[in-house]
Amino acid sequence: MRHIRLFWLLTTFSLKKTLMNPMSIVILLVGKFLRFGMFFLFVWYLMTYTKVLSGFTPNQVLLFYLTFMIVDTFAQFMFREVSRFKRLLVSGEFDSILLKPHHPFLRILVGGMDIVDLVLLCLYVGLAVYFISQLTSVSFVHILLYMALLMNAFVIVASIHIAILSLGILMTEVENSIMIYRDVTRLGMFPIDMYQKLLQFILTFVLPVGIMITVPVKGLLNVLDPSWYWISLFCALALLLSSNLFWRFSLKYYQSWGG
Amino acid sequence: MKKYSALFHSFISQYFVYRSHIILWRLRQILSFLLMHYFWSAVYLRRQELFGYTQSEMITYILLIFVFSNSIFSSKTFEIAEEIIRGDIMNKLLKPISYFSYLVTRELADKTVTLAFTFVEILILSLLLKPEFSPPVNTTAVVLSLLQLVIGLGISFFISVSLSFLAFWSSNIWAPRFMYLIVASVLAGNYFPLDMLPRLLYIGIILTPFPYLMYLPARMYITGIPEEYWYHLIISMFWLVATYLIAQKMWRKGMKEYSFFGK
Repeated sequence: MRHIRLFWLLTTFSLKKTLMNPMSIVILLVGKFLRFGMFFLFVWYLMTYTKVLSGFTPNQVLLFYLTFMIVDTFAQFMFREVSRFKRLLVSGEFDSILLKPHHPFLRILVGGMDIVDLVLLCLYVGLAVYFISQLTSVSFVHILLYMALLMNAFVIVASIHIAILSLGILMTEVENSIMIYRDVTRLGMFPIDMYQKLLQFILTFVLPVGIMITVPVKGLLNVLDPSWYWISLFCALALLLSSNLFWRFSLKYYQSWGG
Repeated sequence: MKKYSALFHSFISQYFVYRSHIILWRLRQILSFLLMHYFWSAVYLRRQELFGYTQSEMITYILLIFVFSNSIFSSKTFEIAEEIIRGDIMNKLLKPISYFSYLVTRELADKTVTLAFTFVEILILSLLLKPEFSPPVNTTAVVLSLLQLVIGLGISFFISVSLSFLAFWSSNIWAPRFMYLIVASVLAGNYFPLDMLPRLLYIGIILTPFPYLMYLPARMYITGIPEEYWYHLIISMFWLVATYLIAQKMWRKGMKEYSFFGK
């Protein structure tokens, strides 16, 4: 309960900080809407000509794209504070966070939720709901499975961000790690079936973009082998466990950098 | 000239101080290229031509965009804003060198390093992916395409410099730059050739400065000189002059109003 109260307090602070520059929020939102809108329209326009991409119909391809946007935006909404971690490290401020009587993740992982991304997240979820309603062969069970697999993807996203924080402690390098993560995730914008076999394997088992984005949509479309549900769950749990172990390991090597 | 040559070498040396940063930065560029390469390969899986482009022409297009975007969007001009906000620009202005020449030297060093990496990456990617490239239509197309790219580089430089000059009046300069990067990357043809779009939309976009940054040079290389080339040249020259005048006006006005304490 105490942690929830603290989380709420940090979120309120973050919101107030964001609202200090209303003009920037407007520009940021318009820019993000524009980028999404242009690319979305382009994919839709292209698919009306090509009719099929790696065996998927236009609406299905758009669902892959929307699922990618949901996962990507969720990461930015929840874990925006990770990108500010380097500043805490090099200034020595991280020392004071470690000394506080709460888990440091409360501050450095989820302590700076980005309200701008929440607005965009609602838009993407709304569009995904619309496109799912347009599919004829989807049952309620498949929708539930899609949501469960999305939750699974969020666990993977959280694990990756914990690993980035741990790497930040060891290398004081955070921004590039986040951008690399985001660029690799972009490879999941479309079904990973369109890549070569080796790249498909890497994007499934080494960098689990396929499990984060392609698997949930395939589950929804009922074209997924049931074993993938267990593989996805196992991957998420293994990543969560290993990233927490990596965090503990990196903390042992932490030494104050500034202050 | 000697001092600018020394500056040029100094800027290039700065890049190799943070080697891991370079590796991660280049890895990101390669990933972007791979995404577009596989996407278009999948689109062309069961067809020879789409929107007037064959598969080899499209692969050549995304390769050219990879090179051009690395030269257009790789820029150190955003640092001007930081220099203005922190007051560091004072030190630069007091030095016995032209500040504008200093900026151009920094840009040239930046683009030299970026292009050197880009060409090595293209060589490696070509060996790995073995894509089929489309040769240029003729030498004139290549020459005019390069000329158009130089105009594009000028336009992007002056826009980027103007965005940094906003720091004379506001410390909140990241939002307009973010907006510029988003708009420019879409309307410059970073993801797809613009002539794939519906005619009316295409005509509207062609009046903006963005297609002249990457799309037109790439298209001219692949499909040759378009019939309406003079029209494009006039619009691009207009934007080059306009963005230059805007940058110059902002600089003069900014310099008159600028003050800083503590340096």
